[in-house]
Amino acid sequence: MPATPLLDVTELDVRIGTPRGVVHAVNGVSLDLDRGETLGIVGESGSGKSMFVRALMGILPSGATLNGSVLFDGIDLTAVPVGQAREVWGRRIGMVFQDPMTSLNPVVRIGRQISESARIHLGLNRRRAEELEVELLGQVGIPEPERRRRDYPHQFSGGMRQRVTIAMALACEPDLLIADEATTALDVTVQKQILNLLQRIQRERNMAMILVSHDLGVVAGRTDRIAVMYAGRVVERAPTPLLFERRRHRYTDALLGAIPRLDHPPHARLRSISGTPPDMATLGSGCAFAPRCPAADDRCRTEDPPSASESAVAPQPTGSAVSEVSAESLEASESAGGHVYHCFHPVAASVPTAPRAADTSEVPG
Amino acid sequence: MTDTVTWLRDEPLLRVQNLVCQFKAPGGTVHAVSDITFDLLRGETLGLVGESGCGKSTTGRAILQLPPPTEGSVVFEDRELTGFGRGEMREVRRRLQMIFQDPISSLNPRRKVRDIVAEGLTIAGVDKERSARTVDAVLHDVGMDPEQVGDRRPHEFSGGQCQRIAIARAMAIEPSVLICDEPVASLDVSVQAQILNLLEDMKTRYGLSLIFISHDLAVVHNVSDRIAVMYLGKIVEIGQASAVYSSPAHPYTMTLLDAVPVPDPEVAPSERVLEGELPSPLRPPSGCRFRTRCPLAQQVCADLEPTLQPASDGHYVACHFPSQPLPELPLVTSGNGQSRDA
Ligand SMILES: Nc1ncnc2c1ncn2[C@@H]1O[C@H](COP(=O)(O)OP(=O)(O)OP(=O)(O)O)[C@@H](O)[C@H]1O
Ligand SMILES: Nc1ncnc2c1ncn2[C@@H]1O[C@H](COP(=O)(O)OP(=O)(O)O)[C@@H](O)[C@H]1O
Ligand code: SF4
Ligand code: SF4
Ligand SMILES: [Mg+2]
Ligand SMILES: [Mg+2]
Repeated sequence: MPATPLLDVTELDVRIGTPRGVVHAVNGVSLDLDRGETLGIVGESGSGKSMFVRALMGILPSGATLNGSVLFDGIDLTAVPVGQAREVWGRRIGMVFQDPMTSLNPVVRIGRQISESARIHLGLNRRRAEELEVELLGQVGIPEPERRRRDYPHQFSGGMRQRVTIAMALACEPDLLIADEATTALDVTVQKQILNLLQRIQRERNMAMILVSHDLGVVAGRTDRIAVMYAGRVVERAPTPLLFERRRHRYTDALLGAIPRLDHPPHARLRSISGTPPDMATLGSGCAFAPRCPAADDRCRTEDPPSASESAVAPQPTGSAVSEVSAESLEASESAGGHVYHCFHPVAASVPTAPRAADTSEVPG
Repeated sequence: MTDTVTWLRDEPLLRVQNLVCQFKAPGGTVHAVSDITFDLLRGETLGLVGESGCGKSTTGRAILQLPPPTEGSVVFEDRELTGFGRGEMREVRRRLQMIFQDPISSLNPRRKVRDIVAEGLTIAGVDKERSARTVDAVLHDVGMDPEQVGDRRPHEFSGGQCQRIAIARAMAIEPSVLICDEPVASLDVSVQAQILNLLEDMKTRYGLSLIFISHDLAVVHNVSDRIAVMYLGKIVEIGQASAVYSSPAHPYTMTLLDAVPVPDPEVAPSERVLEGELPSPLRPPSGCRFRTRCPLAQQVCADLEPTLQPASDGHYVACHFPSQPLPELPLVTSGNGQSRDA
């Protein structure tokens, strides 16, 4: 029963004019998301994650142009009058950023900042606004909310500021919460507090959530589906368990191999990815990962790898043929929560989640 | 109280004993580091791990006398460094280097990469020609092409590349000890892996000993032979990396291990989180400094400071109730101390 998803993004492009040329920050990204669902978006710095989520929120940098459609609850935010889109952005989508100070005003009491959007969009009076401030501060785990709502941002630690921005994002009871690297700048202990908090709130409110991170470890146990981005494209996407167990794209595999794991012995050599992501102002044809990919051949360097899909149900035998699929069958597999990737020489299906210990345990020297 | 030095070993390259670092601040005295003792053997990597503000950077800087510690001793290659003047420390720094937290701001934006990497050599009075050869070689060792990068300036590089430049600068004068303060904290996992592998290579190639500072226990575990866990200015546990990981004895170490995200969807993140915030270092709690957040705390923890005691071979812990399993805790509680229901 294909009900309309809460969010349905089709062929989204974001181009940014710069002195160096046009940066192709997002290239033909299609994704959807239902209420109550959590999507992880993963990729290295510069892969277009932020530009993608900013496009959803209508906060692209000046000089950016957008193509494609963003349907939110059936409303095309790229086509409706901007006033109508602002209603959606202000009330129905909340966003949390990496640096809490980008959303906090240092000279305004935090309570006021938390309730501001609700005063504007829901017309709360002062008493109700104050009640909301206390309630939200409590929900995000700030002790003594009645007192602390009168404090200024500098009176809070980094982790507490991030809790405050989460409270801000929740004020209008959004249907979708986007956390863009919201824990990247925090200690692992505080990161876990914040991630657990986001997850609990998402469940309690049955919101849709997008967790953006450069670390597959952060999204592993906390998402229903994951999209891996590279050079502005989604190169692989799948339900979370499949993305780990049966990852096919070489880049996904490389990202996973780069994570230091506690269950490997000390001095286990990490599988690092050589080089850096490409310059998105001078992207040529072919697979953008080819210059860094150990499996790249001439075809990878010249042709765009097409969409291939993996059945979400039947496990594939190792090394099964890649099926190049038609648009219709692709759509079918998508609606089945399918597994789609773009790679000419995918890694064998059914690889262990942990990168092979054999080639990681070599000690230099 | 400070005679717990049983874990010190023979012939250390570096020995830090009863190190105390205090700062004067508006509200009183900041107890940044409070009586810590450890040593470093030749060829060894010691990981210093703990959350933000626990005193890791202060410890690293105090070893270099930047500024000198309030109390305690730092013996490096059999020489006591506390009390050394600038001139003497300049000479010591040829053998003892530090890569400071935030590489980008620690590189002079107006200088070319070549000159930045040559800084230590210039100070040491190495002649131009030899210095240029060394700079080329060390840039090459950190994976950069001297021809391509030598004449560029730091702002033209990414965080990972700046970190490589900082490592090249430190390695150019071939120190015997390198202190790395959060060398991968601001980097992507992919670049982090490059830098961690690079540090391991440097260690082998230059016969280096490392003090590696990070808040992430998975990162520390990957590069360290031994790990010292710090909490609010104290070492609460120290031992072989494998022992600290496989049989953590301090409740704080257990929560740090538990906080590391596991890249496996089958491993659901536990609901356990470390409650509350790090207490103010202006007024550290009495007794065990972890007691305000410890799920196992008892009265004795407030009355009596635990000292480091053996937990297993070469593995020490400062806790009155070591090696106890932690109870499963509720999710984050709300302000008034009750958890909100769904
Ligand atoms: N010069 C100073 N004056 C006053 N307080 C200081 C000074 N330097 C450090 N501190 C305080 O000492 C404590 C330890 O700081 P330190 O920078 O060593 O922590 P850290 O473990 O390196 O933290 P992070 O992970 O955030 O880098 C903190 O409370 C800090 O605010
Ligand atoms: N304000 C901007 N002006 C020009 N280019 C930008 C701007 N912001 C980001 N970009 C470019 O867009 C691409 C995608 O960036 P971003 O979405 O921020 O990546 P991520 O969030 O994955 O790190 C990069 O090539 C980046 O350099
Ligand atoms: S298409 Fe080719 S270059 Fe791209 S990831 Fe796959 S194997 Fe590597
Ligand atoms: S001494 Fe007490 S408070 Fe401190 S860690 Fe051990 S049990 Fe917890
Ligand atoms: Mg970003
Ligand atoms: Mg520090």
